[in-house]
Amino acid sequence: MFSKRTERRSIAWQLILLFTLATSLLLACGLGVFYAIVIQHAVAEDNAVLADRVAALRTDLHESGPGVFAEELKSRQPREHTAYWIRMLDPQGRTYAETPGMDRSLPPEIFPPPQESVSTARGLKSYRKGPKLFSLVTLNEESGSHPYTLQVAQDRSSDERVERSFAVLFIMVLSGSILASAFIAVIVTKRGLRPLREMTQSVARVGPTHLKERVTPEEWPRELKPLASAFDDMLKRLDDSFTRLSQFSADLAHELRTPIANMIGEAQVALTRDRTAAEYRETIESTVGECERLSRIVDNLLFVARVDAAREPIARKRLDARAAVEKITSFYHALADDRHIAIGCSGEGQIHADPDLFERAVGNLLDNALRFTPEHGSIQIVLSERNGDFEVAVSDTGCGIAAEHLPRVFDRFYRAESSRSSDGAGLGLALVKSIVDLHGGSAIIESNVGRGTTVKLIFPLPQK
Amino acid sequence: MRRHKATRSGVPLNLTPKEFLLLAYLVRSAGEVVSRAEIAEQVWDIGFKTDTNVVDVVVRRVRAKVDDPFKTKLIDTIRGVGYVLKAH
Repeated sequence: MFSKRTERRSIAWQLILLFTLATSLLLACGLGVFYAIVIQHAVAEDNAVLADRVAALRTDLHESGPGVFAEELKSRQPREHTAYWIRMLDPQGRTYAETPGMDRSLPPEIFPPPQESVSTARGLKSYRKGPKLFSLVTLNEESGSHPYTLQVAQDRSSDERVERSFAVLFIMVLSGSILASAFIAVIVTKRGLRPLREMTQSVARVGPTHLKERVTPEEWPRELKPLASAFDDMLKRLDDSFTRLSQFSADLAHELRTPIANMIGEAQVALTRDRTAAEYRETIESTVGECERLSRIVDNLLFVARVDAAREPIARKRLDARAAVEKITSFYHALADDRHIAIGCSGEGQIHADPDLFERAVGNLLDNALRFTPEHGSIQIVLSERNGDFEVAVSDTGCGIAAEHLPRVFDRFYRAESSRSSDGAGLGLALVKSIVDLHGGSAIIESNVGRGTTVKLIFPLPQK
Repeated sequence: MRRHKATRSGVPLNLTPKEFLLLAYLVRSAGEVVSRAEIAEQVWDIGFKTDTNVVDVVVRRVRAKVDDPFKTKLIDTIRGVGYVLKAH
């Protein structure tokens, strides 16, 4: 279905068709107008000649009298191509004299009623007899105080022939031009779309193992540059995700390997010979500890994965943020006290969040802060409301994180090597970020090496 | 218990409110091993797991007040599991 649609909508054929159509239309219009002007001009000229002729005849009739005029008419020998046929009618309307042979092809009845003069603009009565075309004019003229009528026929067959051959020529020129323009359109379109084909080839080279391949926008025509750079951006994002994913698998394996190796090692040592009950007990206790560690990693990982897949249910409530934060700080109080770290909390407000998740997020931040803050340091939690969001900022006076690590600290298992050698699985901040993401908020981290780190959690407040 | 005062052999123990709650929980479940997560939940109403040793720190403090001055030790550590208050 898809391929049919694209086939029908080939850009090349559309361009060719439209281009040819436009050219034909323009040419036809131009040639048509030209043809009309030429024909009109020819007719006007014929009319002018006819008018001159008629005027001369009238003068002739008026001056030389009906007798001489009639003699003159009769004396003319008719030829194949006689241009003018003239008939003279007496006052009673009978034929007085005419060009010999005129009554055969041009009887008196076919002529129009008499008119004043021959206009060059107006069309004259036409009469077709066999292959010949005539323009007919009737005029009254006095001669010897009697009113006579002159009937003049102008042979226009040659004009018609010219017109016809002219029309044939025009049609030939037109069809030739249409063919030529279609040909040009094909060539231009093929040339114009060639970069697209090249780009396809270039894109086709990109594969999972060639994610570093780039389309390099500089080489492409201006129209394709946005596509090329958008594609490069996409490749960069893909490459980034791909690297992260591989890194994640590697980190996960590494993270799981240590506890498993510990368990195997201890169990093997215990099995080498008979042990006392206390020794077995110790081995089992140690195994439980390692398993708990594994279980925590898996739990957190599952949680983060479920949030990524948007499958974690969330039960928002209005919470007193200060009370919720103080509940958490009271939990960490003894630990902080032990290490002479002061935990302070300021600001207050209502927050719209899932209570369990909110506590988990703040708890994880405090976990981290306590881990990286040396003795006699301090941890400050500041609650504030701004621009329709609620902000929870946790600042410590710890060792800080180098700037190059900051963009990735929210990644799963990511650790700034120097600072994160301790027991945390490197999932804490990933978890925190997942929780704020779930609430439609965001997490921001700022850090100065040696001075401390601030993590801000921004929770959107409900629209009023 | 209601007055939040604990004594051992008639000697007042001067526990903080949280220390008192912890001891009360151990006493309530005397003879049963309680995990750190259960203690965190019962004493601080904390539902998430933490990698830090907060509970151990507080248990150590309670021990210092409840067990250290006396000859018989009441609170036992079960490694890898949690703590238990010996039942008499």
